[in-house]
Amino acid sequence: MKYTRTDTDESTTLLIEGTLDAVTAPDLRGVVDAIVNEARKDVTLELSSLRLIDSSGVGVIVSLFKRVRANGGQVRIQGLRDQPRAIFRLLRLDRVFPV
Amino acid sequence: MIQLRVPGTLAYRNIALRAVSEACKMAQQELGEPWAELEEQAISAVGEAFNNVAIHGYHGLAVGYIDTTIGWTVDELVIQITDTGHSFDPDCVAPLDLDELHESGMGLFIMKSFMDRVDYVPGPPNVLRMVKYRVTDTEDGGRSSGILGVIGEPSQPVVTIAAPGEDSSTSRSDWRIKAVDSTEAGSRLVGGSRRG
Repeated sequence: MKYTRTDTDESTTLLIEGTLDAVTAPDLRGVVDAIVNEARKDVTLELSSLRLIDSSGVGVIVSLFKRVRANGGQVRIQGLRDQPRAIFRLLRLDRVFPV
Repeated sequence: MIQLRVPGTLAYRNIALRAVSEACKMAQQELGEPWAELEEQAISAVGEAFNNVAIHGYHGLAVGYIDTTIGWTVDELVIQITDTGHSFDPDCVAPLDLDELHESGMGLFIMKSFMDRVDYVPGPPNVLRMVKYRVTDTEDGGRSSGILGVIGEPSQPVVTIAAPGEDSSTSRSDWRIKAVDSTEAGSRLVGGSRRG
């Protein structure tokens, strides 16, 4: 898993590539904490290069969503496809994140 | 049939998933037609099962193995995951409330949702058996799935990846890969008839 964070004004885009699972999800916790602690209000997860996700990866994204929302912000997801899209639909996360 | 033995830690998770992925590709190639969403659903289910064993099953224990066996017929794909860690009772896992946003506790739900049958027999060894039926269109426009037949051919490979320190006839890097009698392995998997 590789991630790239890009900030512009109040917006933050987090590009996540590869596999977000029980092995790699802990690596994302640090940047999630930073985004929340900096009170970023407009966060976009760019997931078009995310190949595989499991429940641990979903847990990190849900955590980010809850914490940003608690700060009065929003998290959007774009580019979701294939297996990650199937997982999001199964868990009905497409209600929260339009995909 | 394909059989993979890896140590029960997350470091080996991706190897198990790659084996499942390749097995799904082979199954579809043999069948000569696509099996909708088979690969992504099987990988998702096995990934959650592997996580459960590696994170919870061997917690506080000396790490044992996770054996993953994948076989298929024209009608179904069968995945069996065996470990010697702590057992769990699937009936004690609370149902997932999809109206809530969860950060954990989704693994069993994913397994049950993406596979058509999930059976767990506590051990040791603990045996998790997951089945995905292939639904085909019938001549009258309906849809049907087949019954369990013979799984595995003696000519198909069975591979064991052993942890360092184990006896093996062949060494490759710090893993040993050895052939296993696939007929014996096949008989273990075929073992029972389809229930339900």
